[in-house]
Amino acid sequence: MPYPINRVQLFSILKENQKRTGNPMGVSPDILSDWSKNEEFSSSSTIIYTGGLYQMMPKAEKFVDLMAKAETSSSFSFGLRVLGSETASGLAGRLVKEDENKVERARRILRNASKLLRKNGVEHTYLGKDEPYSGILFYDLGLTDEFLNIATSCLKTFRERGVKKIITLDPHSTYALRELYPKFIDGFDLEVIHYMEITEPVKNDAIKDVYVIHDPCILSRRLSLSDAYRSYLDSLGVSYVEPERNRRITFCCGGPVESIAPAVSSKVSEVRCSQLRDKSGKAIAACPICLSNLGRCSRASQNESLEVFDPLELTSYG
Amino acid sequence: MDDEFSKIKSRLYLALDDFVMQKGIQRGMASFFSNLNSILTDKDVLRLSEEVERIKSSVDTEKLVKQAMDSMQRNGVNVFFARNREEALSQLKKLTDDDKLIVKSKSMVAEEIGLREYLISSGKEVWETDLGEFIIQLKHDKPAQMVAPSLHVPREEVAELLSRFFKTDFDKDDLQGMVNAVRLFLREKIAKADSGITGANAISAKEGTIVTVENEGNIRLTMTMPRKHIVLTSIEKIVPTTLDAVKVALAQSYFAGYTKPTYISLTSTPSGTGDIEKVMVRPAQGSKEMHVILLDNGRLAAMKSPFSEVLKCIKCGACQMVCPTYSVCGPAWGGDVYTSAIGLIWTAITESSEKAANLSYFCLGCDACNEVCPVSIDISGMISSLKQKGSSKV
Repeated sequence: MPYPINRVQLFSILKENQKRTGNPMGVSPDILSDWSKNEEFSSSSTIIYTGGLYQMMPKAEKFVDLMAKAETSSSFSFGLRVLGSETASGLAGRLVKEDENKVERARRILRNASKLLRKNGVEHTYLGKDEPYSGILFYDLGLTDEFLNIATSCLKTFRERGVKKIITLDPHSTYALRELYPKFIDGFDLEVIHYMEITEPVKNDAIKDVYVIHDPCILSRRLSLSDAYRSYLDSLGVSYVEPERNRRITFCCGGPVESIAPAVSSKVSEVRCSQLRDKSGKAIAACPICLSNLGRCSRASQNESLEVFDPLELTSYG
Repeated sequence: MDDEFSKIKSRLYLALDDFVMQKGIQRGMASFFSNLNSILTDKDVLRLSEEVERIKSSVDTEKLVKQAMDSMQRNGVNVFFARNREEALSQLKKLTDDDKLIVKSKSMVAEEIGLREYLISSGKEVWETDLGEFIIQLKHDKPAQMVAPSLHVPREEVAELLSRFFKTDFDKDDLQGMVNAVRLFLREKIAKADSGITGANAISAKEGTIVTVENEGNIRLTMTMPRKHIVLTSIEKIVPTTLDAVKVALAQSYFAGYTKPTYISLTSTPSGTGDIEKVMVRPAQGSKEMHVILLDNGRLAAMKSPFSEVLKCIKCGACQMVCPTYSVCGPAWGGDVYTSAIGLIWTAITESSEKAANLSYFCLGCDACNEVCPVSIDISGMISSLKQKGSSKV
């Protein structure tokens, strides 16, 4: 009988990581911010906000793979050894190594985002190693006290750095800052804008394929950005086809339950992958979590591959 | 450590390997989806759902229960209020004491009180007349979904179950042959039954009228052929007028994925005729007696809880039919009766909020359920608050 990892174990790992590194995946601020090394930022009260999500994904994938391995292991003690409460933080934090290709991919996406903003005349700065995590995973797991603490300290950082306007890159951080923060924190008055709402990419003639478009749940249903998403792709000059479940009736990638139940998550992503694959072998997903989850499932079933791309990696500025 | 959660998680992991169940659910979801687009783009249907939302949002259930009971009594119907499972079963025991054969139509409220099992254990012969529920009865299972109880049973398994039961071979693609065999078997049982037990889709307080909606025709037979018609239903079904009740039934049918219901029945009194000199004689062709049991089972308490919105639910099951977690875990993701999406909230109300909290973590928070709910219930938000409740105790 497989040994399922429970909430007590999972929560303690995530909380410990948060305490140690400022994010639930235990990725160091150096790694989170090193995409910006050679970028030039202007001094501005507008920031580009990554929320660390793109950068965390390679680590999150490894972490979820490890969990899945522990859960399917027949040995109770192996499961404990891998993720038990005593050694958990050490393993999850330091020993799990990211795939360098994926780390570089995340860097490229973020560099493209910053260039995209500049090309569109959106002067911005980046908080670098001080950029705080939004706390969204804690909210999603029902850990509202942790979320409130993180949100409060996040706002404090924004205030100290004189931030007035926040440009977000992913749906989850956007939702956290735009919809949840005002509900949880009195007087939250910062402007939060998703990049697709204020930018128009330059047409990329190098893109030849026909892609299938995947609407991330939060982007389409909670932020109502399905139209902005499509306008963005239209400007980029991408040809795309619609899957049956799209826009407000889109089908989830499975990502949100990956830490609580990796096996459920990957099964849901298989279902979504096969729906997308019916339309094209190349998909677009404007969300780091979708990107990671749909990508994971296409690796699992080698016969029918699905390549998944972020709009920001199709947005090329050399 | 965290045992109840772990138990549920293990159960879901087992379900992930149940490819037969997934085949059934995913086929059902695909065909539901092909109808969904036409529902969500039909302006008349959307107007109706808005109206039903208004009706269901403004009801004062406590007041309506009293009014409905008065109306039913005036109609010559015996009506009982049952606070919980025990009271409902004890009432049903009294009503069916002398019965040998009982037929019933599908009812989630009957599942809440374990009615079929109870009657069988009291020595009665009991048959489900809804095909899906009949399959569930043969399979000794629980309903997978509110409208299609045997959604998780693909044709291959239906053929197997029926072949075993009727001791004759059925081809999995001979759907007509399978349905016909059940039809013949059940017609004989319905004709001989002492009591017919049905549920209700909606009830009018003013007129005391029971409204049911169906496609099979089994509810009509079940309520009219036996001499005794017993309605077991729950209090949130009560709306002010019969017109309101018909609207609820229609909306339920549309959002369950049917473009038009085959039958909507309005039943107010036992059957009778005044055709001979205007003297009322009961019964004519329908039932001689009519009894109604209105079950609370946590609903009045829910009205005063953060989950009060769930009482707007018209049990169309659309939220279940678009849920990704449900598509892979199936009915294992649920309580003893209600599964997935709003089924988690019904589980909190009719079983235990602890159990529902443990189930809530497997919700993706993707909001697909909210998108298709005809009465705009924030299902995803309520599941999120179940998570918060659960996590506050970890």
